[in-house]
Parts: sequence; C-alpha cells; structure tokens
Amino acid sequence: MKKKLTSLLALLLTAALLLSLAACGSSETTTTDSTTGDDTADDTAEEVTTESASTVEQTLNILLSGTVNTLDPTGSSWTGEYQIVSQSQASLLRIITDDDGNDIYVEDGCESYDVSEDGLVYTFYLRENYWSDGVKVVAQDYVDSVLRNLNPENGFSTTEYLPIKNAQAYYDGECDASEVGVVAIDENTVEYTLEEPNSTFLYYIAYRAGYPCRLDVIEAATSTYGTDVSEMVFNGPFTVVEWVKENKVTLEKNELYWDAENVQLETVVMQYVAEYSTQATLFDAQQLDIVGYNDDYGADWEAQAEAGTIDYINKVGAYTYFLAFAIENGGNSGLMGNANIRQALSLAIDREELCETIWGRYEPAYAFVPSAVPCGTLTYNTAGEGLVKTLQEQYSTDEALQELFLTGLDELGVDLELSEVVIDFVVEADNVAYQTQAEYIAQTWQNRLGIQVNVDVTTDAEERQQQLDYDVGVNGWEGGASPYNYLFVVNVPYGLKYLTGVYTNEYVNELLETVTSIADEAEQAEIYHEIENTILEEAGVGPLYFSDVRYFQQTYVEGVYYTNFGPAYDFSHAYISAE
Amino acid sequence: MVKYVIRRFLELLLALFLIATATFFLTAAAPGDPLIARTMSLPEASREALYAKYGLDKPLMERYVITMKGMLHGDFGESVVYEGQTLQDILRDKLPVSARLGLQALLLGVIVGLLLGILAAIKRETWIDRVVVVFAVLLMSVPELVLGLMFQKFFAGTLKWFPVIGWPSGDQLWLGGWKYTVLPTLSCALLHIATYSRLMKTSILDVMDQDYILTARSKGLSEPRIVWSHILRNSFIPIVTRLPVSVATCITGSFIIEKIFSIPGIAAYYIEAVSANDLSIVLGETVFIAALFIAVVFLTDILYTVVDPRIRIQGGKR
Repeated sequence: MKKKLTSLLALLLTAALLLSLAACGSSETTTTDSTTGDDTADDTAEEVTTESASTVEQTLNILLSGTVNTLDPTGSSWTGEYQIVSQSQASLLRIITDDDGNDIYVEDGCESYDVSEDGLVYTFYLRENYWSDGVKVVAQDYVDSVLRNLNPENGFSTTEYLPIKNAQAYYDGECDASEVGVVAIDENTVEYTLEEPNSTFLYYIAYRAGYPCRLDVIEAATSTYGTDVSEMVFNGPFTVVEWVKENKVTLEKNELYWDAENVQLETVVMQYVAEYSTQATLFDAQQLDIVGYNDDYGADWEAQAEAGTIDYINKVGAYTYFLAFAIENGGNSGLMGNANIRQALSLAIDREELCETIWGRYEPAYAFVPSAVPCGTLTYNTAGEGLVKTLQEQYSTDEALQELFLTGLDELGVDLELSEVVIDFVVEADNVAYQTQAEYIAQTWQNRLGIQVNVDVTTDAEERQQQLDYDVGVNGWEGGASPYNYLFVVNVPYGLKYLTGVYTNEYVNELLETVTSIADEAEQAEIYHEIENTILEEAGVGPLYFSDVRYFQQTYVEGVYYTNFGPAYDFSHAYISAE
Repeated sequence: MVKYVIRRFLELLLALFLIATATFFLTAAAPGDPLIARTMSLPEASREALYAKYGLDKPLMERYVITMKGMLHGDFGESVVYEGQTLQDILRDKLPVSARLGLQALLLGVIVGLLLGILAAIKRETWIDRVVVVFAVLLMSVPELVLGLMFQKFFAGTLKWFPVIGWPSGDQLWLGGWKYTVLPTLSCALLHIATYSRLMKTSILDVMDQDYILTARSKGLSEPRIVWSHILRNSFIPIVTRLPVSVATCITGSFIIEKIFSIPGIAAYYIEAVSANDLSIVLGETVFIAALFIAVVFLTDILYTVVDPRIRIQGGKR
C-alpha cells in the first residue's frame, strides 16, 4: 500500500511538471497573434535569414538607455529622452551623419532656409507635414513652442532658446510675447531673429529649439503632457505607441510623416536592459540589433566583427582628455604656474603610444577641440593635427625638453637639479585604467625629463583638484557642437576652475567675449584657433586624446546614423536587409 | 474573537501610521535633492516653479501634515520623476505584472515542493530522500541572480527555447504570453520548491513520530487513511500559516528577477524610485507593502486558530 502511495505521489509530481511545461509549450500558439512588441522581437533574426528583402520584417530592436521621464520635446533634457523625441518628432532640421561619419544638419520640418547676411535672421520655409492626428504642421506651432519654453512656470531648460531676440527678457517677464524674435510670417514660413549672430544656432534648432508643438493637444491632455503617449501627437518618422516606464518604448512608422516613403522600419522596440550579461545574451541571440562596447564582451565581438559576422562602428567621439595643471598656486611643487614647465611635461608624452599601449583605442589629441566638433557648417580641427604636434616636432629630443623645463625653473628662480624636482600626479583610486595611465605618464617624465613623479592614488582626486592640492591630473570634457563649448571651459572666469587648475588669460577672455557675435564662419573659426593656440602655447591644458564612439551592430541592419551631438543613433532611414 | 479582531485592526492602523511617519522623515533626511537632476540646468524662476509645484519649497513639518492629510484620502502626491504619475497609476500598471510572476512561481514552487517533501518523508533514509535534501540545500544556496542569468544564457541564449527578456502586456497581462514567463517563473519557483519541500518533510516527520499515529496504526487503520487523515492534515499546519507571507512576498515582486528579465514590475520600480529620490512614490509603495504584510500577519493569526484549534488567541476563553 505504501508503495502505491509513493507511486501516486511520483505520478502527481510528474503531472505537475508536465503541466507547467505544457503551459510553456502551448505558449507558441498563444502569443503568435499577440499585440505585444516582444513577440516580434525574438523572431526577427530567424525571419531575416530566411525571407527575401522585400518581405523581411522591418523591426529594429535596440536598447533604451538613460533616463526617460518625459517625451515632451520642449521639456525633455536627458539623452535617453532625446533619443526617442528625435525619432518621433521632426525639428526644422535633423542631425544625421555624412559619409565620413561627421554630424550634418539636413532639412526636416522645413524644405529650405535662409540666413541673413548679418547672421541675425533665420527664415525657415516649411514642408507640407502633418501631425499624427492629421492636422497640418504650421508656422505658428514653432512660435508656440518657443513661447511655451520661455514660460518660467513650465520649468523648462532654456539654453537653446536664449540666442533668440528678447528670449531672456520675455522669460524674466520684462517684455511681451510679440517682442520675442520668433514670428510666423505666414502659415508656411517661420522667422527667428537673434540678439547677435550665433554660429551654434542651427545646431540649437536641430537639437531642441526647432521642434513645433500643438497647444490645443497640450491643453487638452488630462495628465502632464509628455508622460502619457496616448495623449500626444507626433510629426516625426515614428509615433510612440507604447511606453512602459523604466522598461520599454515601442515606436511605429508614422504614415503621415512627410518622408514616410523613405522610412522603412515598421516597428522599433527600445528595451531597457540593466544587466550587461543580458544585453550580451540578447545581442548574441540576435534579439538585439545594436549594442554598445563593453569591456567584458568587446574583445569577443571585435573578433566576430573581423570575421564579418557583425559590424563594428568605431568613430572619433567628442570627449577631450587632457593634462590639467594646478596653475593658480603652482601646485604642491610650486612649479605649475610656469608655462615652459607645463609645456615640457605636455610635449614629453607620445600621444600615439599612449593610445595604443595603454588604451588600445582613442585618437591622439594635438589640439583641445576634438575633430568631431564643427564650426557652424565648417570643419574645425583635423584629426592628427594641431599646435601640440608642431611643438613636439620642435622639441623632439629629451635634451630640448629638459632645456625647456630648466628654462622654466630659471624663470621661477628655483635652484633645483631636474633629478630633485618632484611632481605630484593625482589619480582617482577607483579606476585601474587611469592608474595605469598615470604610471605610464610618470615613467615617461622620469625617463625623458629626469624628474621624479609621485603617482598619488587617492579616493578624493576631484576634491584635491578643486583645492589645488596636486600638480598634475588627467581630466575630461565634452562640450557641444561648437569650439566655444570647449574653449570657454579652459579659461577662468568663464570656465570650470577645477578642470584646468584656474588657467586664465586676458587676451583669451577678450576674444571669448566677442567671438560668438562674428557672423562669418571662416572668420569665427580663425578666432577660435587663435584662442585655442594661445591656450596651447601656454600649455593651459595638455590635450592627450579624444574619446571614441563604439557600437556593434548586426550585419542585417543598414542605414543607422551614429551622431556625436544628436541622438546616439538616428534610425529614420534605417532598414533590415535580407542578409 | 471580535474584540481581538478590532484590537488587531487598530494596532494595524497605528503600525501603518508609524511606518508612514518614519518613512517620510527618513526619506526627507536622506542626502540628495529629488529635483536637483531636473533643475540644475534650469534658470532660477523655472527652478522655483518646480519646487513650488511639488511643495518642496515648504518647511518639513508643513509637508508632513500635507502628506499625511493626503494619505488619509489615498493621495500620496505626484511622482517627482514622472510628472503627472501617481502611486495609483504605478500600482495599476506594475502590480499585476509582479503579482502574476509571483503567483505563478509560488503555485509551481508550492505544488512541486510539497510533493517532493512528502516523497522525501515517506521514503525517509532512501536515495530519494537524499536527492531531495541535496537538491533543496543546493537551490537554497544558489542566489536567484545566478540561477536567472544561467537559465537566460542557456535556455534563451544557447537553445533559444524562450525569449531572453520581456513580459506579456495588454490582453495577455494575466493569461497568455507564457513563453515570456517560463524562465522568470522557474528562477523564482526553485527557491519555493526548496523551502516548501524541506518544510513539508520536517513537518511530516514530526507528525509521524506522534503517539496518535501509533494509536491509529494499532487501531488497524489503513496506511493511506493514516497518511491522508492524520499525517498530512496535521503536517499542513505550518505550511498553511506560512503561505500568506509567501503570497505577500510574491505579489510585491523580486527585484533581481525583474531586473534580469527586464520585467516592468513593482519591485524593480521601487528600487528605481528610491535611487531617483522619488519621495511620494517611495512613501506610497512603502505604506502599501507594509499594509499588505500587516494584513497578512493578521490573517495568519486568524488562520492559526482555524487550522489548529489547540492554538488559542490571547484573551480568548481558556
């Protein structure tokens, strides 16, 4: 009898397990007709390899990264929000990349635009484009958007709107809306007038200030506009059909978008995936189409990219890493106030070797502004070139560098042999790679200059730098799409004190005050170079390398633009090929 | 009994009040400003407008009174992170997700766990017993994180039997989209299997050693009747009293599993709210979870008296 009972229990146990598995098994048919975005996600890869290009399911699966609190184009400020907004709304201009991977602006909401000779008036001629509810996009929508942004009660960031004439005054309640420099000339023409010429304004238009808004929809929304996608309207390549907070955003092609015939993706699923290992599993299983570089998986993926099974996107980024010196008080050694000493330290470092040996990545920096940063519509710096390179050729030998260092000591009236000089190189303790870099640089200085370097690994490197309790450190900075956003930061009082050890130069200050009001881009670029070279001649900073942008992408994904100053990726013209 | 229920209910309300008060002051005292990230690049006037909107420009005690008044009407305030979102919105969207995962896992875990426990007890000192014990200890020692990632890598990544991430939504929120739920459910259920198999086995062995079982045998009762009517019935007492807590724990979700499988549940959101300093949501969720657990403990106390008449409620007839 006992045996029978045991058998019965065993049978029950088996039945329970089989039932649970049966439930799993039956899921295949249950979810085929599902309306959830996930159903398309895991089947994409299979279908891509078996079907012809014309019938390939046009679904892109990417990561949802960063904070997403609102999808209101005027109110969004985080990169994660901008990634979605930029693909679901059409600004007057769209940021994509050219064949060389550089950011360019193309007409999106407008079909053309004029800039007056004095650089003060921007006139945009609108395309025939419609909101997702079928209402035509008109010039007044752009005017409304500017005024809505400048209403302090809305709590929006106004940075990109302030170059507009009277924007600040209106924000401060000192003038009427009619006095703000934005006007709808007619239904299809909107005109912006600036306080003074601003070469960054087109970028501002493309980035945020050029999005229209629909006041009637915003006022009719029962919840705060931008937090419930069912109450929103879109005028971009895609509409947001689902937003599960902290989890997933699903976009679908907007058939009313002016360029809908060239938008090939039908669905874009953006999923928040916190674990890197899960991201890797998804990417390897082709359930994720684009993934960022990760140290744990990067080498393996690079090997796969070499074998041609995935694509590797590796381009110069917009981050500058540089030597910062404690200039104001001379640092712990008392020597950093001298330009020749700083220059000797900066020039002694072989940037190419540093990038190759220590990092195995990055672009050597011979200027402070990255080559990815344009000056208006012009290219500003060229990769691998800059004043630092010229100076390095001039001071190519160890003897020349030592002579430069000794000149600095003489100028300071310091009677020390090179071997008696001790430099305090501060580095954060929580980053092993930076410590290795610091050791490499210290070794270089010891070998080439004959000085002693104390690599000071500490948990409060930033605080130490703020208090100027160091000699040298390595810092990084990413500005915006203009040389100004890099150069102003170096020079105090404009810049950030702790980033550059309080470098200041009156001449640079004067130039910074006037450079943005120069209308001619070539002339402006010249002034920027003057500022940059003045700083580099004094070694206010010692640029080391520029960051990179690294992604891996499935080979069947085509047409994604990886921008530096726009969204991380623009997929308005992307598609899934039959490969 | 009625007096007991009323007294416990009042105690429950007091406990909730204390928890809400403590949570309010602790979150207010925590370092960091919930609006700093949103406002740091804003001009002064916009910044002030935002602080006024969330009442963060008011003194602490005034905020406390406003919050408590709101709580009495079920209003915990608007999310500082997601404008316009309230606790009710978040519970409506996210609680069913966590609840389905938890209940599926609990159902599978309890059924399999109990069966294994019974099997191990009846087959005491045999290889079956030893396998169950080793299995249980092993499962209890391996963290959910490891199990989840292993399942994901092997069953979803390598074998491609299931999706790597995702969770059914819309019409399929409660029923359907099963393939998305298999791996998360298994990852959560294994711990229940281990817990309940051990509990069931220990409980049965305790009962089997009781004199009344010997008496039943000596009376010549059949073995199935002894097992069914005497052993199992009495062995279920600790199980029944443990179940409500398990249910409450399940409903409020598993942060780790939700994170690994990108499940839009309440647990993952709770952690996000804490890290984002979303005061109203943290307070609301804390009070909600506390209320759930207090209610469950209350129910458990009542259940004790129902399943085991030997247990008397304090203050009852002796």
